Amino acid sequence: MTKNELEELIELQNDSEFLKKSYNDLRKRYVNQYIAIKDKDVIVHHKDINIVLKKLKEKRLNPANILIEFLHPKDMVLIL
Amino acid sequence: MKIPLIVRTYAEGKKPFATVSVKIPQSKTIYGRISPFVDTGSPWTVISKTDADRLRIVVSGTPRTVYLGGAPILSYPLRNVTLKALCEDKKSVFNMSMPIVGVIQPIPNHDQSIRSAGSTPSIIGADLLERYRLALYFDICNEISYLEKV
Repeated sequence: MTKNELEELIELQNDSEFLKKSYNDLRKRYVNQYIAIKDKDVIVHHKDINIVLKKLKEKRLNPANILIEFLHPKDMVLIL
Repeated sequence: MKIPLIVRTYAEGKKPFATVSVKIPQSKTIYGRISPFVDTGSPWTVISKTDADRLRIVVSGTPRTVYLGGAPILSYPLRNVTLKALCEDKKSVFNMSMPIVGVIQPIPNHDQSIRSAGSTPSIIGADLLERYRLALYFDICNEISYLEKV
């Protein structure tokens, strides 16, 4: 694995940590939406995943390398 | 060797998430990163619909109907997927290769299936844990979790 690939994995882990710490605040702001996180910041949000992907491309960002998550409402429980 | 997992909330439940890069051989090889959660209750490793859309995975072949959270969804086979998980030292990765990984897609015009497929994250299942002899440590109280080679 190259240094770049390793750095990108560490970035994703940092963004995942950001999502963990900010989950409640983010859910209040973006409930029922997909959010795209890069460098510990929400860079795109929308209820339609296709629009999120389109906006990322407009920003010349590769969606394959960005953490995207749907924020469920508080009463939504997923038993897997 | 430990693979650290991040314990974070997903749909009201705390789940252990990994940080993984994937290489998928298709007509044009796909490289990307995903954050799957480790689910010992799932027999298979699957890529979520959201991640499939994000990585632009093209599904083909005969899907298997499986149940996720009680809803029927389709799981398309994706062959020879390579995964690399970030290790504890943040300087090395653990290499894995799966002969088959499922890709989640909803059953068309089936509301419950569409909702379930759209809200399920990617999953590292028991197949991968068994193949690579990985044990899951999950301390939900202190939010500490990792995979360890046994």
